Amino acid sequence: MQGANILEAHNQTIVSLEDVHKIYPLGKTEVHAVKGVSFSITKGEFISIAGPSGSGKSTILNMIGCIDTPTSGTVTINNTKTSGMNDNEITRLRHQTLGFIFQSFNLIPVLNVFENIEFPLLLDNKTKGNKKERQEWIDYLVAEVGLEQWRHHKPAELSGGQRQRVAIGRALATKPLIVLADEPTANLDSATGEAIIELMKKMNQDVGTTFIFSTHDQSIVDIADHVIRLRDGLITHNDRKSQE
Amino acid sequence: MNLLKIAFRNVSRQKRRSNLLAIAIAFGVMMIILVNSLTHGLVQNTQTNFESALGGHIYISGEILLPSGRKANRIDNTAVLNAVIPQFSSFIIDSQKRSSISGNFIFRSKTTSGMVYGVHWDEEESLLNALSVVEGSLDRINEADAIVLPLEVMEKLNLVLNEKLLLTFDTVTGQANVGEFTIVAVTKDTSGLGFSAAYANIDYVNALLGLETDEYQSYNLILTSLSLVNPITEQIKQAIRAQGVPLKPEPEKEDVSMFSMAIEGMFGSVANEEPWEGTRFKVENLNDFMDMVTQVVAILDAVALGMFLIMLMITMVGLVNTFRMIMIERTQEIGTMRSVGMQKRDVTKLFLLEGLILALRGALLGIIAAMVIGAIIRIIPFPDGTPLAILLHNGHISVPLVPSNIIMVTFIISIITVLAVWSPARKAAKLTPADALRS
Repeated sequence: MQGANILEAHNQTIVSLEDVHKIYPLGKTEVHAVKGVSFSITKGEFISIAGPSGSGKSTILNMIGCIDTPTSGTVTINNTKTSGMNDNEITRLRHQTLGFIFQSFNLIPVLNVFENIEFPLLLDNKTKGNKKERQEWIDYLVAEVGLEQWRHHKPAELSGGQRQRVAIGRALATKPLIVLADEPTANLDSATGEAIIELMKKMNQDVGTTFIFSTHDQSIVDIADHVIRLRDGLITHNDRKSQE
Repeated sequence: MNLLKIAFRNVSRQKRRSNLLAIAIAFGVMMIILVNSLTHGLVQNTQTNFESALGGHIYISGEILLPSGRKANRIDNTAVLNAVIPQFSSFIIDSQKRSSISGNFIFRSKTTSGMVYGVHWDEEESLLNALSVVEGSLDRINEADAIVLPLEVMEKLNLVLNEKLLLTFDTVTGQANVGEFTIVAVTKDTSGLGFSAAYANIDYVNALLGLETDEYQSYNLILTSLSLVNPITEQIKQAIRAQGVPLKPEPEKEDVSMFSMAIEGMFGSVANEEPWEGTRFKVENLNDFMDMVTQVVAILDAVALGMFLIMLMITMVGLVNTFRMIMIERTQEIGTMRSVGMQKRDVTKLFLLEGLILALRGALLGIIAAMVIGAIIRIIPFPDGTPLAILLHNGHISVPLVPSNIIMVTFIISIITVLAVWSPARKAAKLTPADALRS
């Protein structure tokens, strides 16, 4: 099984947030988007961060993804505190440890399916590796997300569901420890949305990567084995389903 | 990294916008290359025309002071030049010794002024190549009294080939004389210098002037490179002085027009001067006659540079605005690329590469356009006798594309474009991924 070496041990904390606050300036006022959130995530979990709009889901995902910084509190990714890191180090951490799936897919329009999935690997000589091995890995991902016949198509030639499949493939390209998906089904119809979540779940099981996704869709929340519910920037529930 | 591939494809995303920018760059590049090529060709042709009309790059003449107080164009001390010229043999590819008569051609009741060069036909290969024969042939030039006459003289005197015409002139000692010539060939003036010369056998010309058979009035040198003309001229002057022989004092530069210099060089000065003993030498060169041309070229080059700079500024403003728009359009894309691990410097590189691709595309287009327009200009024929003839080569404008000029223009355009794109590129790189994704 490809990527199985990523997940060597369960029950190992891979993400932890301690008393994290996030305040955004909004004109002359401030918006307190996250009000002292603390939780931890263990390796290999399939986690949903659920809550209504404005509850702070995306803000928390952005802070875990190191694309935003907390106003106070500590975010630790794979035993590395993100505070105090410079932009180069943060970018390297994102590249090596994290994968991203966005609500509006955010694919690079000038690259085809194969190239979009391959793109993160080419950003660093360390991950670039051997061309043959790299191609085999991307071919595997293209097949896993079910886009073999579309590999040479550009994003504009794909449906929403297909685009999100490409985004899943891209998020897994660098074999990251964590994949963050911000409302991955929000722009899709319910059937396609469920198929995308099923695919993410399959990749979680096959590749062993930790998946953290935000949603406000209850039917999708139920698929997760760890659910963190938010309201007005605070955690209201933090429930783990029992592991077999 | 596939930055180059992404940059190439990004440039093609907005085809119309990219093409308009490339065309603006291409127009500037085309103009500067064309003007530069035209001025280069203009200088080249003028130099070649002077060279063929005056028989070389450096012209050494001599004059002696006659007991009557008149000056005579004569070198009675050839030993000086025999000692001096060999010192420069490694820089000289050809040399000619000529004499000349200035006088009036007479045929029946008509006269016209003119000039006859006495030449060694067997040593004047470049002259033979440069002469444009319109009637007769150069096969009979070695006949003793043969003359190759310019078409203008033929027309003014209503002459026909093989007729004999007279030339009245003064010998070197100032005595009036008449010579008779047989017309063997007629040439048209391709130099545009306005004083089309006739050519005859030097032995016959010397005999008419009262010179010995092996004498000559000017020693013309063709050098291996035009860049050597000024330094070698100065060195020859020093070498002549070192032989203890005087040089003719040089007049003030601003008092000398191109034609007065040419006429003085060929016929001797008429100004009152201090007396001297023996032969005094005068060493002139092509650049003495090129001053006016180089001034015109400098003005043309300055105008072209001004146009180029204005176009560059317009293009720069266009580029800055375009790339600001591109940055705004692609903010979310930049956020995505930064999120998946692209470093700031790579975002900057991507934008700079796109600018560079645009610049190189425009430059290539401009070079091709300059080549095409240059080729069209080259085939436009100019009529014989046009006042522009001195600037032409065989009746056509020369537009030689100079590789160093093309490389320099491409380099400048690339640098300017990169500078123009720099600021938007830096702004794009400075965007935080979160802000970019939120946009």
